[in-house]
Amino acid sequence: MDKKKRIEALNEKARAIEALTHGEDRSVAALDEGGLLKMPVGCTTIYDTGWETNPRASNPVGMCQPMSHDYLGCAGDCWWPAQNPDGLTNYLDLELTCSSIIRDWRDIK
Amino acid sequence: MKNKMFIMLGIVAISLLAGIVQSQAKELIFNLGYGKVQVIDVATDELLPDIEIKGWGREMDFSADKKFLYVTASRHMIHKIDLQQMKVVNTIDMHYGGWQRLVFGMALAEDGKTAYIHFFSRKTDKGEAVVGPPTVAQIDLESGKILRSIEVPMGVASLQYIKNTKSIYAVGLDIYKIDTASQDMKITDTYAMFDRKINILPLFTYGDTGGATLLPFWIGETAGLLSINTNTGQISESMLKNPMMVYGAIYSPDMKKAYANMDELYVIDLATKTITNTIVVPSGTTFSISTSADGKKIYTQGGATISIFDAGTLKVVKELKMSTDGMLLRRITL
Repeated sequence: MDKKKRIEALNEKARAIEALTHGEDRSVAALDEGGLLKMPVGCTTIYDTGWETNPRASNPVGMCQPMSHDYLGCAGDCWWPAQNPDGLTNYLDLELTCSSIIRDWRDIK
Repeated sequence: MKNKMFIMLGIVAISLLAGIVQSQAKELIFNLGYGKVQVIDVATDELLPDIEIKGWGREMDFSADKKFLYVTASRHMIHKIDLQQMKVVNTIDMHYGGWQRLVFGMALAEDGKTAYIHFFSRKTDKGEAVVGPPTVAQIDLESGKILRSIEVPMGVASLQYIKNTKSIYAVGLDIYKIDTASQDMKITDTYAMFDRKINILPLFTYGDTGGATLLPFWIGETAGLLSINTNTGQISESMLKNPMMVYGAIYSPDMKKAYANMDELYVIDLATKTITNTIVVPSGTTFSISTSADGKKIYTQGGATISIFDAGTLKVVKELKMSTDGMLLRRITL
């Protein structure tokens, strides 16, 4: 069964949101398959996420090792925004509190 | 006899002068860090004083006269570093006019006054997000003003300036050749990669090293190296006979070998297209790689560690513990 059909607005707030979105078209093209931007900014052109998650000779489970080597690289460019503070929008001065993740990670709030 | 004396004296003077010039030549490797750029003196492998910058460094390019280093930081600032004073002397911010512009790709033009950048732009308008098209623009390096621009396909992450043809190669899903010689910039050719299933990582490019830049790629499970001649613009591909998983690659100074890096450091013989030596980098995954100008040392950067290898044996000869994590290494001889 289509999951969306099973979701029903039960309270006033949810019904208000439904009313707001009724008849609304998509206004943001980013990440939309048919829109202007066809893929997020990943680090490779075909796989996304890219190189980091692929198995490799000395580290077949993927990921950089230690993962701290990749942390600020990803935080800055927002490749893995769910896991890292992103330096493009929400944590613009990350380098002031953390310029070396192994040394400064406790200072990240 | 008198003439011979003068000639002899002249030769001695020239030799002495050459010796002085050589002894004064300084070879440096710059490490782009967080809030700072760190500098390694290749002769001693000791650190010079840090260069403070605002933001986190991502790309850099040296001016043709070797007087300045331009560094992109936090994807929207460009710092101008005076290589004599070793400090930032100017900063431009591409966030202006209501738009935020996020820079992924920078290449200096030969005029020393302008650069080409690739950016994504965004702004909010009455609460709505507005995303501009991916753009390659020529900007004034003193003010950041956009002088001219062209829309490019999505996915570009690095730029390479081609000297002889005065064009820009924008590397993304494909390589877009942008003519800059005429008044209007225009894409004149496209080097296909995506449809050929070439998976390339354009973020870790090291610019012009000896007249060429190298990009590692994969087709399926086969690794390859794509080379761009930065003088002529000629592109060539070499499929390797051995697999490797790497972020970046660089030519050896004699152009006979390539070195590639990620968790391992690889030595690739370019004539036979084979990996002739490899070692797991003891300090872990590395982002960037460089060599000394004489080819005797290889530098890799991962986290806050820069490992220095003997290029012949791949033995670690020194590990530098930096005060910042890093992203990119670039070498210059001043």
